Amino acid sequence: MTSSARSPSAVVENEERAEMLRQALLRLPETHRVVVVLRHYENLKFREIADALDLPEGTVKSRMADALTQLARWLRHLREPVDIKQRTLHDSSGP
Amino acid sequence: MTHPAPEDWMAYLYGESDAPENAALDAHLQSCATCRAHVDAWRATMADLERRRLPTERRISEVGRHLARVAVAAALLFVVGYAAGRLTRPEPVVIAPESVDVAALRKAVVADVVRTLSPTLESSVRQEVARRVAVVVSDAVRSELSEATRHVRNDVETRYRKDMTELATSTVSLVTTRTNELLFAFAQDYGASRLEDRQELVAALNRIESERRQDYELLVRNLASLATLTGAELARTQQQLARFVAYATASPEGER
Repeated sequence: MTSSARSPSAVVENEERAEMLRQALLRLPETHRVVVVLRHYENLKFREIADALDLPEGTVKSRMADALTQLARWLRHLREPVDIKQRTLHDSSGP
Repeated sequence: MTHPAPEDWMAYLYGESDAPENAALDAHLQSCATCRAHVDAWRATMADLERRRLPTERRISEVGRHLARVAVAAALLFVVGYAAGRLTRPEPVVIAPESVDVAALRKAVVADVVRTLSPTLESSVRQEVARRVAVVVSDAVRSELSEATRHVRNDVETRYRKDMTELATSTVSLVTTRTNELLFAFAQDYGASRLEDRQELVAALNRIESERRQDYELLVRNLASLATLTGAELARTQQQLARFVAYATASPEGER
């Protein structure tokens, strides 16, 4: 599974997903986007994010949860029938 | 059945809950389809986010150590100057022009703040450098690179400005508390001697603080937008950087 065959279509698909995610991130309220970014791009722990933003840690976590929920919703809308990615990998159970 | 709070799940998903909590949440997950659905959706999104960040991390390692060195050097110069400049910038602030004392004091405060901050900034940057640059560069290579650097320095700086903005953001936010204490102590000392100037001072400090706050918010915004910019821009950056690396590595060997 880790033998990531970088086919052109995979690259394109990856690009598309990246674009979707980018759009979704942009739609998040800044209060939430900051948390996501600090967590995922800065690798800060929730405690550290809370300190940096001067917020209670619980608030940071709940914003994170809200953000993930929201992102999940948008991304599900964006990519259509995504169910289980492994299905595409195995491909044996054709329609 | 009572469900764990989203906060608990976040700690769980991001590996910040302890073993007993983990066990409890694991058990709950086994028996609760509702929570399982939530957690699955969160996990999928986290995976998306993690996948997206890969290019950002690869940017440095893939592009090559030569570039990393140059970039780090450029960034080192940049971030220190940048952060210091940001923090000292309340220069054009309008304070009561007649209160020379306050202006002088403010200058002193700012100088002190910068003095306090600079070591922090520098050590963060050093750590960053140490983290990113594993190999010590020889003098010969360094001079070749510094020659080459001139050509692309601006490009590199622009690119890495974003990265370093992140660094500056975290650094600045970490030192905010300390700075505030310092400013407050100043205000108190001074207030003991002259009350009316103290008011001016407080106003000045408030300005400093609010500018710093704005700067901080700007940094945070930049940081947040960084996350959204990396796609197309990253591709362009990588081309630029790859070109530079080709140049920087070709010239020392090619010309001798």
